[in-house]
Amino acid sequence: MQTEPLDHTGVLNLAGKYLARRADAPVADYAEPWRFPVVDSHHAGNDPDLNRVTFVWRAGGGDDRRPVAVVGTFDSLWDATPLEPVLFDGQPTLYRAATVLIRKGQAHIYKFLVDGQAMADPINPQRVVLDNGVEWSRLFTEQCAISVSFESWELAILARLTNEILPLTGDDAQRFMDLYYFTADKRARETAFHQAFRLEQPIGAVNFIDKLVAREERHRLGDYKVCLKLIADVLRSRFPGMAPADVSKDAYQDLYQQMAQGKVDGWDTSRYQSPNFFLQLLRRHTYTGAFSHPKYGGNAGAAGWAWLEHRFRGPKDASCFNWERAIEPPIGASADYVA
Amino acid sequence: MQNEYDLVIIGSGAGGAPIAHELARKGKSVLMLEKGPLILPQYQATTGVSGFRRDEALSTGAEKILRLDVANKGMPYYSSHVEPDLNDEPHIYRRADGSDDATIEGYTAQVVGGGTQLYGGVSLRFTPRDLTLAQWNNRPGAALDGDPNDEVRRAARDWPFPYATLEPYYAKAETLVGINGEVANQRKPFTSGDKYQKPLAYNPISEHVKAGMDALGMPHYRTPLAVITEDHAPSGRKGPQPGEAAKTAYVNRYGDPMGFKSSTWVSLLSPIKDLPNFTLLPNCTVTHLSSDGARIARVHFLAPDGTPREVSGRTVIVACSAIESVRLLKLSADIDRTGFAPRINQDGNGMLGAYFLTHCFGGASALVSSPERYDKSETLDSDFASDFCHADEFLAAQRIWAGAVIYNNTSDRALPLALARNYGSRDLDTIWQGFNQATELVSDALDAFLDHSFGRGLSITFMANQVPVKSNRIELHPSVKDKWGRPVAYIIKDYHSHDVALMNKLSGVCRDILVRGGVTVDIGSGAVFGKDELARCANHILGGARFGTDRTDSVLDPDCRAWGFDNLYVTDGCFMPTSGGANPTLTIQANSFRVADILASRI
Repeated sequence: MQTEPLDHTGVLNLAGKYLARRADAPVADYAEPWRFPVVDSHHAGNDPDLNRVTFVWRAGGGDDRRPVAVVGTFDSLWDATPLEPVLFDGQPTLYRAATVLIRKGQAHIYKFLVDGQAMADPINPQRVVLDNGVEWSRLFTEQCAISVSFESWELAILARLTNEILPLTGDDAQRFMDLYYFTADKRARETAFHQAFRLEQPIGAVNFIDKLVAREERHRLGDYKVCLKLIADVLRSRFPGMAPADVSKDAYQDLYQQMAQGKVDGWDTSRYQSPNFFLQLLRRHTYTGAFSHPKYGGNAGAAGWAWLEHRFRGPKDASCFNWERAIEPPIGASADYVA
Repeated sequence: MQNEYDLVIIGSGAGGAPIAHELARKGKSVLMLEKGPLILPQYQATTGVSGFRRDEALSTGAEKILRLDVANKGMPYYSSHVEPDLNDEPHIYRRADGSDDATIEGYTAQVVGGGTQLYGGVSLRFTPRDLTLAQWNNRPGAALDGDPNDEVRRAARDWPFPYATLEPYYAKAETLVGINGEVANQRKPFTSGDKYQKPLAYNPISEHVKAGMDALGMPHYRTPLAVITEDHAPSGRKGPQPGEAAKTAYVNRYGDPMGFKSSTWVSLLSPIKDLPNFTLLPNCTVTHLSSDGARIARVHFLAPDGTPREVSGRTVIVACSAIESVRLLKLSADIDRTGFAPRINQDGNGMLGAYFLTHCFGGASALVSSPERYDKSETLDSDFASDFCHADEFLAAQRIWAGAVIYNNTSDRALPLALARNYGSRDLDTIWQGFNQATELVSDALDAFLDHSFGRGLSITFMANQVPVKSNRIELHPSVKDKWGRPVAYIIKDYHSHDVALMNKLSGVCRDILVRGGVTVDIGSGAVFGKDELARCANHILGGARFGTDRTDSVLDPDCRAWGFDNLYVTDGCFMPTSGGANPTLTIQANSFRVADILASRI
C-alpha cells in the first residue's frame, strides 16, 4: 500500500514517552500502549474522511535488523507494507514505522510480518480471535460506529442506562435532537450520527463507551462485561419473560436508584462487589461521551454541544456556548484552526 | 551531532529557552536537550495539523490507574498528554500522616516549551518589595500574625540584586516572548517602557470583578497574558485575525495549535531553530552529569529509544523545572560521591533541595445569578488583576510578611467536560471525584445542575509568597524508581503557620471582591489545598537550589552558577529564594535573559 512520508519526530514524540524504557522491561510496562497504531488527523488532502494511521514496531536491540511489514484488511491482505527505520538525529533507532491513510469510521484487523513471520502487534493490546482460532491485532479509526466491545444485547442495555443518566429524554431535548438530525448534512447522518439514532441512544454515548473500553480505558472492559450481565440477570428475575432492554423506564429508574445506594436486590456481589462503583464509572463515561469531541465516537454530529448551546441561553436568548467558532470544520466552523 | 558545544542546555522551558535564544544568536554552538516531544503549531507542522488540539481529552485524559507502591496505589488519575505518566516518572509527596502519594502538579509539562505550553499565560513581574522581604520584615516595629516564634523575619531573604537589575530583562522578556497587558496601576516601575501588545476586550462576566475591585478601591489592570493579539515581529508570528480569534477556553492546560500563546517554542526557539549552530534534541532524557574537578565534563542522556549517549558543553545549563533539576543534581551526586557530590552539596551544608517553595495560593469562587449567563468559551485565562495587596501599607496593616497579586480566572469551568470533572474537586488529584460521587445529578437533576452553573462560574485567585522553610525540601525517594530505574523525586513540604494566616486574609479579600461585585451564588473561598493536601504541590514549583551572596546559605551564586563548579548554571524556578507574589514564569524568563548576558561575556 502506498505510504505517507514518515514524520520521524512525530513517531519519536510518542515512542519516546510511551514505549522507551529499560531494555529488560516487559511489554506490559508500556505506558498507554493503546496509542499504537497511532490514529491521527489527516489534513493535507481534500478528503476530510481520512485518518493517518502509523504502525510502530520496536526492535529488541540494535542488532535486530529483521525486516518488518504490516498486512491488514485496510489493504488487500496479501499486500505487505514495509516499515522503515525511524531516524533520530539522522541515525536509525530501534523503532520502525509506516504511515498509511485509512478511511474514518472503520475497524480493521492486521498483523506484522517480521522476517516473513506473521505475528500480532506486540504493542497494541487490541486483539481479536477469529473463528478459525487465529489471533489478529485490531484498530479502528475516528468516528467509528462499528461495535468492537459489546454485543447487541449489551448495547441495548447500555442505551437504556445512558438515557437514564443524560438529560436528553425530555420533550424539548427530543424535539431538538430530531430537528438537528434531519437538518444535518448527509455525511454526518451516515456516520456515527446514524448509529446513535438507530440505537435510540441520544448523541452516541454508548458508541463512545464501546470505543473507550477498547482503547483508553481498556482496563474497564471487564467491569462492563460483568456488570451488564448482572444487570440483565437482575432485570430478568424482576420481569420474567421480558428482554432486559425492553423493561419500563420506571424499572430502569429504580435500578439506577438502587445502584446509587449501593444495594441492588438480586445483585450477586460475589461477581462484582459494588454496583455503586460501576454506576459512577458508567455515569462518568456517559457524560464524557455525550460532550467529548465527536472523533471519539460519541457526541454524534456534535449534537451534544449543539444541545448545550440550545438549552442554556443568556438574557435576550443570547448564545452562551459558541462552540462552532473554536472547532475545526466540518464539525465546527473555525476560520483558521484545522484538526 | 557533534561531541562538544559551547552550551548544553537541559530543558526548553522558561529557564532554558531565553539563554538558547540569546547565545545562539550570538553565534555560540548550543545543544538543547528536552525530555518531552516537539509538538508544532499548525503553521509549522508538515502534516498541516498541530499535535495540540482543542479537545478536552488532551488536558485531562482518560482514566489511568496508579501502579506504584505508594499509599494511593490503585487510585485513578487523569493527566494531560504532555505530563509525565505517574507510573513512569512520578513525583512522590509525603502526606501529613507520613504516608507517600504520587501526585500531578499540573504545569510541569514534558514537552518542548515546558510549562509555557500549558500555562494560562499570566505573565506578571514581581514587585520591588518581593525581592527585599528580609529588609522589610526586619524593619523596626514589624509584626506578623501566625508567627509566634518570630521565625519569618529570620527566614526571609532578599534577592542578591534589586528590582532595578531585573527591570530591563523584564522588558526584554515582554518584548521577545509576546505579551498583551496594561502597565497603568501596576505597582512595579516600567522604567524601560511599555512593551505590551494591546489586550483584547474582556469577557463580559469579568465586569463583576472590575466592579468589585472598584467598590473596594483596588486599582486594577488588564492581566498581562503571554498570548499575542497582533503580529509579533520578534518571533515572526502572525497574530490572530481578528484578534478576538485568539480567545478560546482551550487555553489553560492546553497547548495552542495556533501558536498565539507565547510558549518558549514559538516565541524564543522557533526564531533560532534553523541556525546551524543550534541543535534541539527532543525526546531525550538526561540521566546525570559527570564532572572533572570544578568542571562539568559530560552530560549523559538517553536517546528516544533508550540508547545511552553523552556530550560535553563548555558551559552546562540545568533548567528542567525546579523538582527535576534538583533531582538531576542529586542523582549525579549519588553516582559520583567523591567528586560531584561534595561540590554540589558544598561539603554537606544541606542546601541542595532545601527551601523548596510553591505559592500561598487560593481565592474565592461563585456563580453569577440567573438570568445572567455568559459565553465563557470566548476567553483568555484572566481579565483583571490588582496589585492592591502588594502595597507596603496593606502588608503592615494586615500583619502579613509579603504581598500578592489578585486576578480573576475566566477560562475555568468554561467547557462541558471541565464543568463536570472539576465539580467538587480540590486539585488535579481529585478531578472527577466530586462528580462521580454526586450520583443524584442525573437526568432532570443533571439538567438543573448545568442550568445552574453553565456560563456562570467566576473565580478570583491570589498568588502570594510562601515562607521559606528549610525542612520543605526535595529529596530522592528511597524506594520508588522511574521507568529507567532511577530514584524519583520526593517532596516534603508543609505550610508555616504564618502562611495559613496569610492565606485566610487574602482569600477573604478575594471573597470580598466577588461579593461587592454582586456574585454570591454558591460562594466559597479559602486556600486551594486543604488539610489532606498539606504536602501537595501547587502548580508553581520553585526553590530547592536558591541563589544568594552567602555560599553557606545558597546553592547558586548571584549569577545562578553553582558555587562548587566553574561551568554549571541552574536557571529554572529553583533559583528563587522567595516565591514572589505573582506567577513566576516571566521572572524565570527575565532572570534567564540576565544570565544570558553574563554568559555572553564569559564564553
